[in-house]
Amino acid sequence: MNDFIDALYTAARLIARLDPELREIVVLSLAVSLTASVCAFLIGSPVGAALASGGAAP
Amino acid sequence: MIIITNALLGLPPVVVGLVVYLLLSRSGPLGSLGILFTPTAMIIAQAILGVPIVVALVHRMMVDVWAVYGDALLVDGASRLRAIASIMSIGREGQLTAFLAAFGRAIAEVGAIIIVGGNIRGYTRTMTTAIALETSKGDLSLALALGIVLIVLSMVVSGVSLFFGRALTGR
Repeated sequence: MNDFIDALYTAARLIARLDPELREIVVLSLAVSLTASVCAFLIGSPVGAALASGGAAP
Repeated sequence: MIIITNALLGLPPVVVGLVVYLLLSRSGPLGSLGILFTPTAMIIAQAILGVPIVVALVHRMMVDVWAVYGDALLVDGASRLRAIASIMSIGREGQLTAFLAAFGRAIAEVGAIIIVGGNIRGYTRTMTTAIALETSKGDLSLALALGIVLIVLSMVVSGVSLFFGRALTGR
């Protein structure tokens, strides 16, 4: 239990002082996921809408 | 097509990672692009996992919009393409929900992106992959810190999705 509390305390410190490694990891995660979601959206949205309109045949 | 989408929704993410890895590896068909173990590969994997989510959610929202507006648009002379564009604009809040759902899925991904990204420090190490690594190293403080950030982020995304869902549909 003590180890856990120590780890939690250190974790809070890392967050509070915006530890550079933490920051780097978070920024990368956000960049990758945002880009991926935008791509997924750009591809998926027209497909979903076309399917809802009863087929993609123009 | 719907059946395919629903089947794709149930696809194990780590298998998607494996397939992308095979496609992007040196001996694979797209190996010459050299994008294995880069953030680009991770984006590809997360996007592949996100497309079925967006298609399914947008489709579900659009069926209702189309039922209301579709015939009117077509009767008024719109080509099917323009009608689709119009219902996409009308069903805007559904699109936002779909986007946020895909983002929530992407930010939580671990297995696929560890395979195609390689969890390289400072390059392809994301929150989720770092948590996996740090926990297995026994370095719990960084793992916990990242975990807290990730949870808070997920809650914010869910909250925003809920808020916009309510606000834009006037409920």
